[in-house]
Amino acid sequence: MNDSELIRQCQRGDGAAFRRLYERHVHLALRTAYGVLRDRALAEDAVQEAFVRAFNHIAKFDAERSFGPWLTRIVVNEAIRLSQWRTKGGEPTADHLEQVSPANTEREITQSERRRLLQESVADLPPELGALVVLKYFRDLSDPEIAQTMECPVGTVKSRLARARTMLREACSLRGLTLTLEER
Amino acid sequence: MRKADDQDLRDALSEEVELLEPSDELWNKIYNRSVVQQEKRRKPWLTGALAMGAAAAVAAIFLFNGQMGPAPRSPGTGDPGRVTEVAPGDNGPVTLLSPGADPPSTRFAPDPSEGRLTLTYNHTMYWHNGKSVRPDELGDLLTLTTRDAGTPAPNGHTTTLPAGKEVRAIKGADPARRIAVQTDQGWLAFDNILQPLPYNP
Repeated sequence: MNDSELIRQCQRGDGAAFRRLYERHVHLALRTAYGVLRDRALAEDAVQEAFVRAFNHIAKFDAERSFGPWLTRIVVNEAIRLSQWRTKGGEPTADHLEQVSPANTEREITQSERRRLLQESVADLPPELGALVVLKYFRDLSDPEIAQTMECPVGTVKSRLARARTMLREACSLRGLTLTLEER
Repeated sequence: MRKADDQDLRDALSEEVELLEPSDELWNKIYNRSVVQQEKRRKPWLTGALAMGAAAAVAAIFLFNGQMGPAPRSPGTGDPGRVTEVAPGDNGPVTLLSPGADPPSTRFAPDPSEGRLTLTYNHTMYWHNGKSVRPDELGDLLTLTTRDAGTPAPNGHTTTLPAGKEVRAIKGADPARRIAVQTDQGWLAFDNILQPLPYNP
């Protein structure tokens, strides 16, 4: 049974159909939320909220539309909201960029160190830009796909991604890492 | 070389994530907040009947055991803000029971910046039977993801969890104003916890 049929059943209040939709999409939703939040508990919160919102609004959802991008948008928005909420709680964010200690650029680093530095640098981005980086480099979506998912113009996606790349390079640079990203 | 490229970024973002699995509880939380709530809205008479039935069960337990609800197994003393260890394993989720009442105005306000969890409670009755919900969801109970730390502040208004406790769920408020908090080290019962405080995510 495809998503459209499951959605129609959900619209009739079928909890079992909603369960199947959940099982089909929860993994990607959770991984996307985690990519933005880097916190498992918060990621689950974002996913929980997203599925509840999706269900509560599914009556108005056009079953012929693709469910995945719609859910992704809700997940990303919720992850951004939680990230902003966490920021208010005082956890380290982009505001703390200047506090990053200058890295020892002489020493070579391992692959795992490189990944950690990149993860930290992504975490330093404002959440809405971090989310774009996740959609681009983790979900591997094209700019038009991101625009469709987030319901914004492609030009907006391109300009925000450019800003995200710039900030990401700066964040990496502070950690002694030279990041080269293709502008595509 | 201290260099990185697109592929390194992809690898960094994929690391850990590929192995990430949703918790067993996640679906139950979603189900209770969506399908069950919709069912209640469609069939309010059913909600009322369930509430009355559950209220009768609560009353029976109260009369039989001398306490409301099955949440904390270890009875608290009633001292304001007292923290009581509750037997581990009693970690079933919770469901709201508010017989004849408006949506509950109970608020749980995690305040990670101060490392404390503030609980607010307005006599709405909750019934432990297997569910948990988010703090901002009226009509349900919650799972808090805040990792609160601190020391007990038994002033009857604000209770601070002991350091290192991770709040996973809260359940079991009753007329004695007791709330049980599930932490990573088991359940803790808080007695007489009252404080009106809005939850602002």
